[in-house]
Amino acid sequence: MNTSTTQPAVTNPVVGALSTLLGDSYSLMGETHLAHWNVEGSAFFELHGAFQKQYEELFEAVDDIAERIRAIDAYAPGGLKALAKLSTVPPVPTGAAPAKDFVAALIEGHETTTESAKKVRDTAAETGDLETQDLAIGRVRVHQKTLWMLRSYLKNL
Amino acid sequence: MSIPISRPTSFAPTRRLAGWRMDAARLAAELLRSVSPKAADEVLDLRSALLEPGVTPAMLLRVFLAAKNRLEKEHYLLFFRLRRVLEPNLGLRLGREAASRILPVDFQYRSLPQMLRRARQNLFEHDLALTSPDAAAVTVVWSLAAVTEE
Ligand SMILES: [Fe+2]
Repeated sequence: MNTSTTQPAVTNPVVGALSTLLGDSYSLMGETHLAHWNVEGSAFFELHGAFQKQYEELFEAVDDIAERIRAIDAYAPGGLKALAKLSTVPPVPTGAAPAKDFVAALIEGHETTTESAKKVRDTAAETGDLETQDLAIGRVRVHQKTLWMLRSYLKNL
Repeated sequence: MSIPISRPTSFAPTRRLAGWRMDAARLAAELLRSVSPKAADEVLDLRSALLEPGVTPAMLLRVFLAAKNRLEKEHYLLFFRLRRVLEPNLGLRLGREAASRILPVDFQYRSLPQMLRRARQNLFEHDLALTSPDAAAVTVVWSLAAVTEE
């Protein structure tokens, strides 16, 4: 007989918020990888390299987020279909498109993921889970920095 | 690429405005706050077109392209967001009625006549047997997505 009095982890709202953040981050990683492959034009080398740095950073981030879910005693969602269902990150262009459209689409993806990270931050704060809050604050900071760089690229001076 | 619908839509919105129009009008309002007073006219025209229930798809596309030609360079992200909202709701109908096809609008053209000319040219290139002017007609229409939501 199971005598444990611990609440099942799935009812923890932090797990739900982390799962959404995982879905958005994974999806953003995929979209950034696609942008790395398909971007064209005079800024190719610059953007191809910048997008690579971004998806590599996101690859490490999704691992941290999933392992945080495990650390608070829940199971991480995974697999492309399940993660896509959790995500609202918009797609980058799928064919030939101006390089600026890839940057603009990724800006929207980072905006969406920033909101998910803020939701984790605030939910964790409400439940006193400071370690998850710390992770979420770090994610918000990374996305805000990337947004600054992507928006700067679109500036016409 | 062809949108998988063939039903022509000559729908004139009469009731409350669709959500996508409100979304686009909000983006136009955001644009208005960031453009110089000199460029405000184009944005005001766009905003009015979006909020005008009787606007035709061709009119809306015309004012959008005018604003885009003048301001996209300085406000790329906002025009990208506007395109994303408009894209699924506008289409180019090739041919008339039953035999028509609807293609997505390609925003790379600077003017509506240019866009229509190119679509017509494509039509002739792909169907050399086309003879009647009706079969080669190109019209801007609301796409099925726009009509369903209204
Ligand atoms: Fe690569």
